[in-house]
Amino acid sequence: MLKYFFKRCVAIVPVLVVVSILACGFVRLLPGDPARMMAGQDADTATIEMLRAQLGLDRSLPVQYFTYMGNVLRGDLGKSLKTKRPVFQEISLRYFPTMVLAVAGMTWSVLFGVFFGAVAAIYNGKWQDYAAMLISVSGISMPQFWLGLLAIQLFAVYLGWFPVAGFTGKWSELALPSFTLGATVAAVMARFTLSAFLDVLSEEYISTARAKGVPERRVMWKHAFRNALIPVVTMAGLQFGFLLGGSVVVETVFAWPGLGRFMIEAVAVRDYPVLQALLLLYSFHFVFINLLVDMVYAMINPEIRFE
Amino acid sequence: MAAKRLFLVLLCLAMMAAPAFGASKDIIYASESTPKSLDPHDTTDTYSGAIEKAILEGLMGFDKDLKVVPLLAESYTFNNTATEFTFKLRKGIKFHDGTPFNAEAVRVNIARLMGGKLKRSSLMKPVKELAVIDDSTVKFVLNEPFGAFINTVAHPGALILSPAALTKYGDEVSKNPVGTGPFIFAEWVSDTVKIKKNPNYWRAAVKVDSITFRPVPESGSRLAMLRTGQAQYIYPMPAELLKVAQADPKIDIIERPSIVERYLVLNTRHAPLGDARVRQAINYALDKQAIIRIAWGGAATEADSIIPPNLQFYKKQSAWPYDVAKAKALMKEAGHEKGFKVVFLTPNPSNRLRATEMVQQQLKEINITGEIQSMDVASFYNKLEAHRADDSNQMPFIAFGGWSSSTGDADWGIRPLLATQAFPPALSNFGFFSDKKVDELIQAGLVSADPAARREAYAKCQDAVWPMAPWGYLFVDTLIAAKSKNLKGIYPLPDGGFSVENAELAD
Repeated sequence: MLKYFFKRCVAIVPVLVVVSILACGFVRLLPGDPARMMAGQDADTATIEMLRAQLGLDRSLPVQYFTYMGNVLRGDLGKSLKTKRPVFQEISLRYFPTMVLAVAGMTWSVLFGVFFGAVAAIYNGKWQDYAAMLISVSGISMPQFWLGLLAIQLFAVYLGWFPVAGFTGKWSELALPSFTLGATVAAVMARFTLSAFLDVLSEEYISTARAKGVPERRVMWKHAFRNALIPVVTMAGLQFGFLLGGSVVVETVFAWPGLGRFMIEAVAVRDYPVLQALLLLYSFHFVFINLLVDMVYAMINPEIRFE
Repeated sequence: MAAKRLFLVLLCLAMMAAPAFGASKDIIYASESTPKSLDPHDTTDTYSGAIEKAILEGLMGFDKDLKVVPLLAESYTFNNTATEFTFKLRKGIKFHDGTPFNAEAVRVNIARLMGGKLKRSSLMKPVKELAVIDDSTVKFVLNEPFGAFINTVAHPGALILSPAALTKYGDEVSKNPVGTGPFIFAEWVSDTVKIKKNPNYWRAAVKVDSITFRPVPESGSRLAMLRTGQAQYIYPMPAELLKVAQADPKIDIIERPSIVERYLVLNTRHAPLGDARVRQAINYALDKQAIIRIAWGGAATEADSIIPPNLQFYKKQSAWPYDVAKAKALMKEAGHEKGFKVVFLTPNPSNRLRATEMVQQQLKEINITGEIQSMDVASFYNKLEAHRADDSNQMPFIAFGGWSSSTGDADWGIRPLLATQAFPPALSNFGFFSDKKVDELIQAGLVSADPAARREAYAKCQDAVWPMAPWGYLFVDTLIAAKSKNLKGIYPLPDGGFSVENAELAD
């Protein structure tokens, strides 16, 4: 298994090379000139030309790409065009807040999502089912933006339980944003758990188990739930990959100093080095999480083996 | 399940254990923008510039109405041809690192700017040399007359850094600014900048311990932070939430006119828009008040000159009343009764898009029709700058433009937008307006540094341009900030920045 893990890790490299070429090309396809955005609205041509030369944007695209990749291989992601700080430093500063938020949001959503989904499946057609699904459909339909602002009004402005926004390292600051982030994902998870659970319940081995007199509780938890978890884990992995990119909406509403907002700001001023590094990082997240998800499969279902 | 429930309960409890906010003289400023640099010579955005002005000072500065006042200079003199400007410096002032402020410090800073490698290097383009006369006197010698030079020296791009810090940090000074201002730079982590009191400030004593500038991009959250006391000052205060804020007894609203003028760039190279009568018709057909009310939440006043009232040498002009009948008559006279097609270009922030939609509807009344192309700010300027005056098949466009003259002077409010030399890509005359007389008047404003002579030139210039209607005149933004009642002495400046040196926090 360890060998398999390392083999898969090595396979990440070519994926990242392809992504790097695409990223480099895509960010330059965006209309708008970074030198112009850096120089400000009232800049003269000389200033813009000077910046373009300084930023190396006057060179051909392949030259820019190979220079960039050469630096990346030496561990240098370049400097942000906007702040002139090293991209690595800028991303590291924002990685932790996004990570904390993603983990907390994911925890909420898995706990609530799987719970509501399982309840809906077990009590299929009864009031518990309707209640659970009503909550989860509301979760999906309510825009995060709106939910976040409502949460701020209620829990921060009126009740005063939590701070409104910002992240300075206090746990209390995590409550509202992680709840808002988790709510949407929890709803998705609940729908997913429900359908996976129902699929499994219609399998023949469930009927067999019931027929041989296995208690219903045991049928549900031992036979059905474990198997239903496989697609749920896939889904959770995928969602977590997205959350690690930083939720733009939640980070904006709660002034969270994370990667999502950083990305949007970088797009606005066409900060090429930052965008390229973030695209590489996001791709790495997805490939790596996929690998982890495959590993978790084996833990849930020992029949799954690696070749 | 029991274990899970217990875990949840514990998690909730842990999260609720928020520490209380203690009473102290620390202010949190919640802003919309994020800081980009704290190197004044390499800064082009107002927000970074405003933070720099709390830490650093220039020879000259602006007061709260954008009038130029001496700061590190005690006084100045200039010659008749506006080519030599001599500044007497204040004595006995020290930088935060203890090194003295003197003529040599000025020389080092100006030489750095004149080196030409920084975003604000263009400010010193008119300068031939800087002569150090003695320890407290410097003289700028210019290549050619530049009457607006005093405003250049007052510009945030010409703030003075400690030469010792420049030697120590090099370009990294952008994260380690050291100046003579009321506040000392403390830290910059992620998006948040903190400055602390300078106990030895050479002017009045500073009354607060620290100010933290924290970006909060969502306006609803910004207001909520102010209401809960998590922030003491917010800018901008969103116009659509004014009612909520006014109802809160703990909050003060501050409204002040800005120097941001909004206008429609009319492509004067395109045949119908090249006709002054058509452009005048457009100005009669625009219901400015409705646009201000609906698209801008009422936070603006109708433009009454080509530059806003807070700029030096502004002269009020007569308004263009909303008069569709007159507009139609002018269109008929110009032979365009049946109208023509244009493209409306606009940046995509929602208020600008809404304003453009209203313009589109209003101009339909005089048969000027067309599609709106909205795009993000970078693409918008990219598009406008790509046009050249000699393109044979130029697009007939009407673009939603805006300008803020960071020097506070009429020159930078007029020349980059309306002079013939300012056609893109050189500067921002995106509508290719060109008039010989106007060019001469713009030049006349620069050949002398004598305020009376300059006032006369710019008055004539505004009188001349206004009726030619190079733009569809719209409005001047009103700045709205909000603060908690116990905070005093902090206010927005007309350029969108702020002044914090007199900030005071009551218990």
